[in-house]
Amino acid sequence: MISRDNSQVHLKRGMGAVRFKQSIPYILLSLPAMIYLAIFNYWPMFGIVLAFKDYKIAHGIFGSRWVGLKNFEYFFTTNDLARVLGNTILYNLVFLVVIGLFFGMFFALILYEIRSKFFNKLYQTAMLLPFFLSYVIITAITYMFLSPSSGFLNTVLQAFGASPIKWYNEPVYWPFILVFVESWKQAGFASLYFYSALLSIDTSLFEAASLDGASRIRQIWHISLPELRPMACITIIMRLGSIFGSDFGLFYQIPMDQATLYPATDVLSTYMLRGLQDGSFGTTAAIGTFTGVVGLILVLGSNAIIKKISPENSMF
Amino acid sequence: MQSKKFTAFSHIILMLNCIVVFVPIFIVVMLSVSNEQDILDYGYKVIPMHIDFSAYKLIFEDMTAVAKATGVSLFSSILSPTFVIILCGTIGYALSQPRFAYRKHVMKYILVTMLFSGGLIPTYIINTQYLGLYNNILVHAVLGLVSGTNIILLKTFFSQIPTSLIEAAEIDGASQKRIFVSIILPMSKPIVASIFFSGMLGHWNDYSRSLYYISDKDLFDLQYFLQNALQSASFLKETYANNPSFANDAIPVETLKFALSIISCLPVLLVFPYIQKYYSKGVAVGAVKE
Amino acid sequence: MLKKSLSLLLAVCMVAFVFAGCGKKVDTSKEVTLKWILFNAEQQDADVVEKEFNKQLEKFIPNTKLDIVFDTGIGSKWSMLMAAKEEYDIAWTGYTLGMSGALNDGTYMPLNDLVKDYGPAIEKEMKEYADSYSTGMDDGELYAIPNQQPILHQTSYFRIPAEFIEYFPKADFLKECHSNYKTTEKTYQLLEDYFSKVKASGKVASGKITIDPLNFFKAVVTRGYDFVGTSMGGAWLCYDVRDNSGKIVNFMQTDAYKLYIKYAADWVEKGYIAQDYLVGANGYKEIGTCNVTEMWYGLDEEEGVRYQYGKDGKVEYYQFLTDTTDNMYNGASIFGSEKTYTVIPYTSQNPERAMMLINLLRSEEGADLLNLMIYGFEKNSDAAKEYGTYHYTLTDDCAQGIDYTIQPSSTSIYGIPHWVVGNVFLCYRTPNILEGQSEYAKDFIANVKPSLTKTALYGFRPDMEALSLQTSRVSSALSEYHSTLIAGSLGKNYMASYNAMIDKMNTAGLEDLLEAINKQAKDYMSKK
Repeated sequence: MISRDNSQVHLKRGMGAVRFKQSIPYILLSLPAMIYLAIFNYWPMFGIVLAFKDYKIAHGIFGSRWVGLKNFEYFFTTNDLARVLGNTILYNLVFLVVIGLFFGMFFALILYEIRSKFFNKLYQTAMLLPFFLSYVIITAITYMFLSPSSGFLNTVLQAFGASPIKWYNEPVYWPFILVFVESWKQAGFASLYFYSALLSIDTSLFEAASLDGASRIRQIWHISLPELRPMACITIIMRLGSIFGSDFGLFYQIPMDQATLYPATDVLSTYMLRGLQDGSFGTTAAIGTFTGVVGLILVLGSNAIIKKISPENSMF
Repeated sequence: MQSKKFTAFSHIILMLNCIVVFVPIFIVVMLSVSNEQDILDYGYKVIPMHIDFSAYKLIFEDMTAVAKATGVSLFSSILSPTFVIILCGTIGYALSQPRFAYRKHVMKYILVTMLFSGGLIPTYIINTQYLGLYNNILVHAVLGLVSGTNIILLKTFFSQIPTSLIEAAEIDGASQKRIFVSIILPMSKPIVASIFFSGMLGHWNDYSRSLYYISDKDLFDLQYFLQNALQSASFLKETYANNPSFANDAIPVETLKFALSIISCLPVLLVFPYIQKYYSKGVAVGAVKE
Repeated sequence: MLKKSLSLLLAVCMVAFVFAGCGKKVDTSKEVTLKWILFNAEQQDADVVEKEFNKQLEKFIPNTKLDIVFDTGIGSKWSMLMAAKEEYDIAWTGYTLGMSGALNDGTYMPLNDLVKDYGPAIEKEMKEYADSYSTGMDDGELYAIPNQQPILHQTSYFRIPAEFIEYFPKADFLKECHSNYKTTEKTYQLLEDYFSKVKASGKVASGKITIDPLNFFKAVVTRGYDFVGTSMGGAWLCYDVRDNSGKIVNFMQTDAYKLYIKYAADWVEKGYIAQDYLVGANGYKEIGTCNVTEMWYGLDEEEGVRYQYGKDGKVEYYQFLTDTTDNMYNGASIFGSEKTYTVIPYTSQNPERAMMLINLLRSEEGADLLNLMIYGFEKNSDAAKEYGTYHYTLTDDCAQGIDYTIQPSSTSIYGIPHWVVGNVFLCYRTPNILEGQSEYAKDFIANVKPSLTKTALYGFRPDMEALSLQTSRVSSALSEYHSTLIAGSLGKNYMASYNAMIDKMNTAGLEDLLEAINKQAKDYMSKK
C-alpha cells in the first residue's frame, strides 16, 4: 500500500527557534480563522456561566444569581432521562455505522464505477436532492405512506388481506422508520465526501492492478478502501463528538410529535424542547455544558484509539 | 479494466435510488399544484384532481419583495461559502503541513469550539450589541463561517498532496499564500466544491438568520420570506375558522408548504450542473511522480 | 485649580439634583421617537400612514414621533431582543409568547406609577374592566395592559354545520347543558345520537365524519372545573367551581375525565371521530367543532343559539352555547389569559412618553388617532387628498373598508387588527361588527360580568415558579398518554394506558404537588 500522507515527517525536538521561524507563514495563514473563532465562538463562551445561574433576562447574565449545580440536578433527576439519553446515543451510533460509514462508502464506491457522464450527473443529483428538502415536506411524504386510514402502506397491506397497522400508535416500528428516513435524506450527501476522496486516486493504479489480474472487487479492496480510511476516521471522531445532538426535524416532525411514540422517538433535543419551561436558558446551558464535556471525552478517546490503529489518521 | 457485472450492479442500485428519490419529489410537485380544498376533502392524492397554481400565485404576488429577497439570498449564498473556503482553507492548509510546529495546539483550539458553545443568548448579545449585526445585511454573510468539520476535511485532503510539489514551488520562491492559491486549491477541486456547494445550499435554506436578526423586510432572505408567507397563511386560516363569513376561497396552506419546498430545492437543480464538473474523474494528483 | 473645578462640578451636580427631583410635570421639551413593536405583517401604505400619524400626534404630545416596527416573529424573538437590550418603548405581547416566563424574567416594566402620573384614561379603564386588568397584574403591580377586544367572557359552544341542523336534538341538548353545570352522560348520549343520524343520512358521501376531540375536550368536557396555574393547555390542576372548599385536584382523576375517555374510545370505533385525528385527518367532514374560551359579541338569534352567516347571507353554522349566565363564573386568575396586551419593555428609555401615548390611544380624545393607526385614511379626509390614497369610507352605518377584514394579510391595503393596538370600543364599527353588538358588549362588561358567581378561588394565582420542578415532571408523565386518550385513538384498551398514566403521574410526585398547591390555596382563601 502506497502511503501518500506526509504526517510521518517529524522535526527534531529542541530546535525551538528554528521551529518557530519555520512556522511563521503557517501561523499567518491560520490567523484569520483563529481570530474569527475568537470573536464568534470564544467570546460568547462566557455564557457557559448560565449553566450555573438562575438567569433572569432583566438582570442580565452577570446580574443573575448563582445557583451552583441546581440546573444540572434538574436535568439528572427526571424520570425519563435514561430512556432519552439511551435513544439519543443508540440512534447516533446506528446512524454513524449505517449512514456515515456504510452507505457513505458504499454509494461512493458504486458511483465511482459509473463511466457515463450523463448517468453520473443523474445519480449524483438523485443523491443530493433529499438533503435539501425540509422536514416539513418529508413529514408530509411519510404521512402519505403511514396514514392509518388512507396511507399507501396500509392500502397495500389490506390488498394482501392483512389488517392495517396504526403506524402512529406503535413505537416498535419507529426505529426502522427513522433510520430509513434519515438514510434517505443523508446517505447521498455523506457519500459525496467519500467520493471526493476516490476522485483523487491515480487511475493508473487501477490499470496496473488489473494488468496483474486483480478482479474489480480486489481492486476496490486494496486501492479504493484505504483512500477512504481518513474520511472514515474523521466521520467516526466527529460523529462521536456530537453524539448527544440530534436532527430535530427527524425526531420531532416526522413522528408528528405523537406522545405514544416517545419511547422510540424521544431524544435529548426533543425532550429539552418539551420538558423545560419557556426561556429556561440555565437548564439548556447546563445540558449543553454536560454534552460538551462528554463529547470532548469521546473525541479524545476515539482519537487515542485511532492513533493506536492507524496513527496517520488521528487528529491530534 | 471495468468489470461489466460490477458496473451493471452499480447502475441497478443507483437507479433504484433515483426512483426512491424522484418519485416522492414528483409527488411533492404534484401536490404543490393541487387544489387546497381537494386536499382537505379527499386527502393527499398523487394525481391532483384539479390543477391549481394558487400556492405559487400567493408566493409571487409581491414580485418586488420576492426579487429583493432572492437578491439577498444570492448575495449571501455566494459570499458566505467563499469566505468559508478562504477562512477554513488557509488554516486547513497550515494544519496539513508537518513543518507547522504548533499545529496540534491549534487543533485543540479549534476542537473546543466544536464542542462547547456559549449558547444562543450570549451569541445574540454579542452579535447585536457589540458587532452591530442587527438589521444589517452583513449578518447573512458573516455568521457560521468557521467550523471545525470543514477545517478537518480540508486539512485531510490537503495532506494528501505530495510535499514534493510544495517544495518545488518553494524552491521557485513562492510564498505559502501563493502556494495555497495556485497549487493547493486547484488540486483539491472536489473537496472545495463539496464544501462550497454544501455551504451555499445550507445557507440558502437557513432562515434562522432572518428570524433572529432582521426585522426590516428589505433584508429578508428568500427562505424567511417564504416561511413568513406560510405563517401568515396559517395564521389567517386559524382566524377564519372562527369567522367563516370572512373566509375567501381556501387559503392554500397545505399546498403552500409543498410549493415552498420545491422553490427551496430548485437551486440544487440549477446550480448542480456547474458544480458537477468538479466531480468528474480525471482530477488526477500526479503531476510529480513519487 | 483642580479643587476649584471639582467644587464647581459639585455645585452643578447639586443644582441639577434639586431640579431633577422637582415634581412630575410633563416634560416634552426633548425630541423623542418612540418605537412600538407590533405583531403583524407590514402592509402597503404603512409608511404613509405613519407619517400622517406623526403629524397629528404633534398636537397632542409635542416633540414625539412614533416608529412602528412590524414583526410577526415577536413570539420567538422576545427573549432574545430583551436579552440583547434592544430598545423598544412599547410592545405587543400575548398568546404567541410565554407571558409568565417573560414576567419572571423581568422584561415588563412595572406600570403602577406611570399610570398614576400619565395614564388617567387607563386608570378609568382599570375600574371598568377590573377582571381583565387583573390578568395583567402580578402582586398588585400592573405589568401588562390588556387590549380590549370582542371577547367578553370565557365560555364554550358546540357548533354544527347548518346542513345537519335537522338531526341535532336542539332543545334537549340546550336543556341538558343549561341545567347542569358539568357535562353529564346524557349530554354525550345526545351527541352520539346526532352523530349516528348524520352518518346514517348519507349526506357525507365518503362516510368520513369527525368532531374535533381536542377542542371538544377543552370546551365541553371540562365544564364545571376551573383550571389554575396556567391556561388550559397542558394544565391538569383544577377545582370544582361550586366546591366551596376550593380543593384542587388532578382533572385526570375526576369522573368527568374518565367518563369522556370512555366515550371517545367508543366514538372512534363507531367512526364518529377520525381514528388518525392526531396526525391529520384529511378528508373528513367536521360535523362538530368547539371553542373554549371565547364568547363573541353575543346576539343570540334564539335563546342559547347563535347563527353564523356565510358570505351569501345564509346561515352557515349553528352555535349552541353550553352555558347560561347562571352557569358562568368568575374564577382563578391567570396571567396573560386575555391573550393580547400592550407592555412597556424594561429596555425603554422613554417610559413616560410611552405611557402618554398608550393613554392617548385609549382616551376619547385620541380615538381619531387610534382609528387612523388601525384603519388608515378615510376617503374624504385631508390626508386622503394629500397622499392620494384612502382605505375606508365612513358611512352613516359604519366604516366600509376597502379589502379590510379584521385580520388582514400582508398584501391587503393598509390595516392593523384592532386587538393588536388598543380598545376596540373606541374603533369605528365595521361591517364585521354587527349592529348593537358594541352596546351589548359594554352592557355585559359593566353589568353582567361582575354579577357572575365568584368561585371559592376567585382571583387566585398560585406561585408556579416555586413548583416548577414538580409541575414539569408530572406534565411530562401525563403528556405521553393524554392526547391519545382524549382523541380516543387507543381503541378498546384505553384503560390500560389510563392506569399507566395515573401511575406515572403519581411516581412523578403528583401527591406532593397537590399538597403544595392546596396549601397555597388555603393561605389565599384565609386572607380573603
